[in-house]
Amino acid sequence: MANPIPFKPAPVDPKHELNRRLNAAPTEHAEALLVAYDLLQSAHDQGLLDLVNGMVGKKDFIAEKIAFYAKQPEGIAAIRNLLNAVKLLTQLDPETLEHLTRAVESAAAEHKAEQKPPSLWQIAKRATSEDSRRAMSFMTLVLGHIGKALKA
Amino acid sequence: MVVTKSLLNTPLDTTPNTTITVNGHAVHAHLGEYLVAALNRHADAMKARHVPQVCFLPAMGPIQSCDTCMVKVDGKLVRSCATPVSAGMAVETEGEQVDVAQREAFDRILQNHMLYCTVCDNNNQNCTIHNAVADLDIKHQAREYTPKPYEKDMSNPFYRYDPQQCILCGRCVEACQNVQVNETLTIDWDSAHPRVLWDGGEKIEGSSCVSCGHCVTVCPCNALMEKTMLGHAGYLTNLPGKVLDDMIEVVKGIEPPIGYGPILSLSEMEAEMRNERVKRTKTVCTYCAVGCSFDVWTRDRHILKIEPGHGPANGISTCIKGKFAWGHINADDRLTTPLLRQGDTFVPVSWEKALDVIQEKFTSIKAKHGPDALAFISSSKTTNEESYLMQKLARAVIGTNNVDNCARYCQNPATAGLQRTVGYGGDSGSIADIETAGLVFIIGANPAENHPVLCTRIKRSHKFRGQRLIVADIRKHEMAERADMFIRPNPSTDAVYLTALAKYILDHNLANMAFIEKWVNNFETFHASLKPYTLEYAEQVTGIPAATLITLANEIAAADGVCILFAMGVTQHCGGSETATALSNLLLVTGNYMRPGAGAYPLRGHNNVQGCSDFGSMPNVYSGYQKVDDETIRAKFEADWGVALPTTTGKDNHQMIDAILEGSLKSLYIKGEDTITSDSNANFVGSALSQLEFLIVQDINFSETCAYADLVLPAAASLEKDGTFTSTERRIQRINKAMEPLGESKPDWEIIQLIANRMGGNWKYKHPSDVMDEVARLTPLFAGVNYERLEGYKSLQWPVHADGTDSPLLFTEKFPFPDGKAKFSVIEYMPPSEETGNGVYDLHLNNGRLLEHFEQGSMTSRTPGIREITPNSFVEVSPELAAERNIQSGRFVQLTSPFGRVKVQVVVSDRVQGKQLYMTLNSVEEPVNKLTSSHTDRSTHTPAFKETAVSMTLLPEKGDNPILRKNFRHGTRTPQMGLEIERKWAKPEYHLPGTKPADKLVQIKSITI
Repeated sequence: MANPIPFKPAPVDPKHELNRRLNAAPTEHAEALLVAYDLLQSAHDQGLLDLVNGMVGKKDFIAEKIAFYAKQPEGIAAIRNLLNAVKLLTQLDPETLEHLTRAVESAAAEHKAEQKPPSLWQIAKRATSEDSRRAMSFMTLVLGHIGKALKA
Repeated sequence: MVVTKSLLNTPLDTTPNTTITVNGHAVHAHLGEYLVAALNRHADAMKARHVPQVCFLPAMGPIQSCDTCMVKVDGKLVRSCATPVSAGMAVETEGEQVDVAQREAFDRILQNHMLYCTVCDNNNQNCTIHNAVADLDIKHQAREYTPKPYEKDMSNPFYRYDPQQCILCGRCVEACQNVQVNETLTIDWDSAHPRVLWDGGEKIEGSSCVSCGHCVTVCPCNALMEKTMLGHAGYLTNLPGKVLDDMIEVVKGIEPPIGYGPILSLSEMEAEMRNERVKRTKTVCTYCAVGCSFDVWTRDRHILKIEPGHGPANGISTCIKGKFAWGHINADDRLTTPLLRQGDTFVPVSWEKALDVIQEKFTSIKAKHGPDALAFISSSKTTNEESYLMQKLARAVIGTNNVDNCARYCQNPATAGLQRTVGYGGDSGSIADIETAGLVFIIGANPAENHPVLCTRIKRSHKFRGQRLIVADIRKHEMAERADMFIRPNPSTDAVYLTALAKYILDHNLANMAFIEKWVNNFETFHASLKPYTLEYAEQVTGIPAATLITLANEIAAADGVCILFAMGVTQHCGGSETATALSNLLLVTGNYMRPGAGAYPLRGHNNVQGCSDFGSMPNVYSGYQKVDDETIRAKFEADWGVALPTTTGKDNHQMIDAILEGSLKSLYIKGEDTITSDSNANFVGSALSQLEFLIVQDINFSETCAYADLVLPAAASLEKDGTFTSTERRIQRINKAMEPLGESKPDWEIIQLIANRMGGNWKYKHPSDVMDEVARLTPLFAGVNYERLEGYKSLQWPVHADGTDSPLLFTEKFPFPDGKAKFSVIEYMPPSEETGNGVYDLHLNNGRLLEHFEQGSMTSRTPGIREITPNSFVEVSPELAAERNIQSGRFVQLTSPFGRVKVQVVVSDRVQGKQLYMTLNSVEEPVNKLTSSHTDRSTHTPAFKETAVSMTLLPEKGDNPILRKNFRHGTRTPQMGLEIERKWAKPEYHLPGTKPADKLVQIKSITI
């Protein structure tokens, strides 16, 4: 004979559930877990865990700060300039850049080897050489395009 | 503009029967289909880009608001969504003019919608706007995003509307007006800032919105979203709102020079990453028997949302319960350990201990009193496989046929009435047949609240396809309000007018005699039995005027297919089986079987009440309704199970209670049922349960019945296991496990197996599919059912033949009787058991469900949003009775019957008339079954819940109206035929995209990373 007993089960404890799942985790993960423990220990010894802990704990605050400064005109300009710099890198012809780099290297080496400054006549001869005229053409083309872009 | 509405449950015919040209290539299409559908199929076949389409959803048909699907047909720009295919049409989906039109249309959309996909909860690879931006390779927008002067609306407990993101596509309006047909949503095109309105106003709360979820499901962006998704779906979306706003501002600052491409790529990476932690699992709703299926999105145990789309019964449709009422899964009072009664409390015990107790008690009771001293009640909420194992435990392990299920409380009279006449006790066809019937006759059922998705098909057909709708009920519910004809018979008299209709139809040569002669036996005897059922007699008994009955008879006789839908208003009476028989007789007289769009449709209540009986949890049958007292059948099961089986019919639920009180039944094992609040005459049932020597109750929560138990076992919920359910359409569908059982709870099938094996069963099922394979082996009705055939959204409607062919429509070739013919069955009218009148119990108490709750609310009350809008039960009192007794809404009353009393608040409502009351079921503290009697249907012992006489005493307490102001019942619908997009087109600032020179947008050149 059983009269009805009002009863309320204990509220579900999410930690209990997690513990149960943790304990039931298959041993095939044991090696990965051991490596993870080593990694964790190393990170802890170097203070990285504390750093990450702080950053994660204050994620919202940090994100708020970053977003605040990023949206300032200076922040937007910096990001856009960075993107333009990336764009420049991607669009610049590597062959040309390589030639320019080598040219600067060679000129620097020659300059270093000079005992005394060349005469005006030697400079003028250098300036009107085919190679120099080729370089001046490139530079004036760049100037012209800059001028056109600034006009837009 | 001609608007036609497609059928929702019958796929469109796309059989190629014509040829068109698309960009110069010949393409096969179907005459009359929407051009966009043909183009989509062609694009899929060619693995090419689809024509953009934002507002078009195949399930709903053309809305024509977004204009992005522009193509050229025979040289002219048209919307491909609304252009029917005609033979030889020349279509251009490429070329400058088409491109200009599509991009101009999309640019207009982006003026209303800010793109911030990476931090948007809707960025789940199914966002229509995001995908359209990608498909069109949009670099930037010419029109700047323009905020609107409206705040987000968070007033609904389940979803929110953000007007700032709304693109005014109108999908939500179309879904609400013409799919759900709740007719709440509109768009005010004439406003300076059009937006979606609820009942013509700007607030969702308090409107007629029933939270069915259609609008949220079909929204192509994040304007309408489930609240459970917000802050949970993405990796960054749970950042504080201010931070998100700042991040969006940063992105908008850097977008112009680089275009949308790189940012979109970031969002696509983030969307792909979400798949690592968001699981999408196909399941079937655990509430009613419509059998809605959908994907449940979960992140660990958090239920993100329910996403319908491919369900064979429901498509894109859901109701408030299926879409939003899943709070019971993670309720903090879920049962997680077995509980053993000790003194005046329950203590948690291990499974080993619980099984020890069960083994000891079952063994001792069986040894001392015999196997028939034990009984088993199976659950209409658990799976087919679990029903089968419960009856196998009872029969093969314990040795008794004392097994039953809650169909006893509701559906058995329907099954009996149909089995007598047409052989199968299930729905004659499918929802598709109800949708296409010429006439739907609803008797004693309230499908708008109890089978909402099924009812949407009726409402849509009635609104658009000229379907006739007739309702017979003592209460004026929504479908009664919509009906072409609403009759209100006296309670418990349906059998009389139904039989009188049959007589009238026969007497006036309106019957389908060719059908009767070919397909129905026992006509002469039946015809002779109709003699007393004159119209005059029917009018006298039912209160329905003879002229009304004549109109009704002519409607039924003239209709091109009649579907009779019925439920508890028919079955829960002393003459329930007789009434079910009478309506089946009427269908036979008029030839409304053996054809599409016709037949009898007992609307099953629970998600698996059909399956629970189908799979043998009944005292007189094994699975597939094979009789236990048939020697050949029994020998088959004995051979397969390896045991001798009991030879005589066992006790049903009702007889079990009597047997307990009589002393012959000592032990009861109840799985997934709150018997004390579900069975009639609760006090009587309680006294019986108190006398049991050993009571096991297995459930997901500590129910009122658990309080009587000796041992409580924790069961897994539907999202925590595999299995199958069978819907009212006889449709078997799979549920799939979406998360692990909570705590130490286990799926019911595992628990039953553990018990069986403790008792020597030696069962070795590893998965429910093993159980189904055994069922198929032993049950001709399910011969071809296996899990492979039920993968994904596939389903099977029984009977299922060995080769897997199933039966959407019953009786296509013959009836399942030896000579293939149906049978008229003579009925005997059973007057109601309890007369109301001038006695003490002078009022008639009707009772039933509410849309937003399920039965007593055990599951639905554990969803906070449902509790918020409907915390309490109530009793409806007619205005005339309220005036007579000086009662206002909110007043507390005591209802008393010879069997008990309850305290409840009043709602004065014209849904009821005269001295008829209607009490809602949603209370376990004051359940209506404290008032109901033990009178039953004489054939099936189903309690006569609907035949209850009560008295009403005013109590001094007064409160607010128990239907809170925020409840949708206070709203006022705004019906219209759809979005009324013509009003947008008529605005002076509107022009068809692509028809003006300025429509050509300049796209910047940018790289797409």
